[in-house]
Amino acid sequence: MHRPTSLGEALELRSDLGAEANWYAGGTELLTAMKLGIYSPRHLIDTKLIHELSLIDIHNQNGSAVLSIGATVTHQRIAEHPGVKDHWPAFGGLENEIGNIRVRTAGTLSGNLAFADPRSDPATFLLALDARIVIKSPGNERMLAIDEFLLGPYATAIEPDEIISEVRLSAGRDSGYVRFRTLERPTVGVAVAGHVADGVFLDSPRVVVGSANEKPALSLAAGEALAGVLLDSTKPEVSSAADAAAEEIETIDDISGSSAYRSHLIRVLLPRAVDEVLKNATNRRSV
Amino acid sequence: MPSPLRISTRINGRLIERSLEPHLLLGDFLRTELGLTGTKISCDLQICGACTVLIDGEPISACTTLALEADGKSVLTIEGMANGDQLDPIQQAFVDFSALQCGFCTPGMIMAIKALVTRTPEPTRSQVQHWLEGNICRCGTYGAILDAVSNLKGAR
Repeated sequence: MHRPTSLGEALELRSDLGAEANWYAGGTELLTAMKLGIYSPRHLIDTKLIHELSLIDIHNQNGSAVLSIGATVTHQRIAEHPGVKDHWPAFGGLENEIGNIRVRTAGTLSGNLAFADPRSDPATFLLALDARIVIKSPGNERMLAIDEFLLGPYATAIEPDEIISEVRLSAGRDSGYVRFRTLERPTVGVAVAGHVADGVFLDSPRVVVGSANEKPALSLAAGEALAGVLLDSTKPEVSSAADAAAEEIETIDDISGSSAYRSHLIRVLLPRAVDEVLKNATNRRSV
Repeated sequence: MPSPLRISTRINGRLIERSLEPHLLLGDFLRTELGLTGTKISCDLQICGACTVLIDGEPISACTTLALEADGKSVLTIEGMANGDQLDPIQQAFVDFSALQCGFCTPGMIMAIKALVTRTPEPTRSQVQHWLEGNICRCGTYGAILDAVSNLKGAR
């Protein structure tokens, strides 16, 4: 176990130890994989003493609020953060439902994204919010969109000498997330995020279907179909958008359901997600 | 073989200093090294909550937490709840409301509740339900447990 106290030290250790080392923060997935014998890194680099990775704050960027969540910030800290509850209530609500209280206390959002479970709720939702992942390496920094970062099940675009330093979300979009599940992970989850005024989508919202395939997927057809539409699940335009999403998004068969069942769930959940967006838009305090 | 690490931790108020293998899990450390078998290892996957203990007041799964995470911190287990013969108010409420049957989930339940009422002294029933979602009781004593928490006297 190595416990660097600065990011520079951590990145140097990572370069020195190479493939034998793994980043370690909450360890909720990592330690489980190690206990099962699936994965046996010789070295763990504990990131919890690196101050800059532990910060969660909201700052103003070009007149808009940006939430910056450091890599070692836990789900529980996100769920309890007053700024998150005010400006990103749906995201805070989702974080408050991750796993259980013990998993939320130890586990980090960045760890969830790095693990790249194909059915991750935060990944689905953050893709709808058009979040960015900031990745650092010695002497370099880059920023990726969620769908650039996630490559497939348990695979991400992170390079061996890199570390996730933070996740960034902008305010401005109202959002909602609805999922259906029979097991711990959703069968299907639908996240919708858009610019709303007077109960109408001002432009094409971002519609993401998660848990239906190897990674969350944006439905451009559904987004276009919802532009200018009233946020009301009973409206035919919303059902049409749901149909468009169900046709566009490829779904898989697995233990939670067949491909056809998942497509059906998209049709059911998208209108409900639209209602959720309206509910959150109505409750939102202005930034 | 990994080289042993030295940790210094307060377990139920008592200073403990030990050398241990870095991969040693907290649950094993508590039960095997320290003989504190009140913390149970059940699902071993962080799902059931039987292994709930508090590190600096925060609830964690001892089954999936490294013992070295306790270094420099305070750990509270079920053995640290009573003060001699004096039960903690949470324990007393469990007795008063028959909130245990086989008792296997009970240490984890009580530790989870301890974490909750320390930060939220008078939680609503729905707050308690949400907080305890990760603690499973196979005997189905949930109703009595919620009643016990609703009727805590002086649990802080």
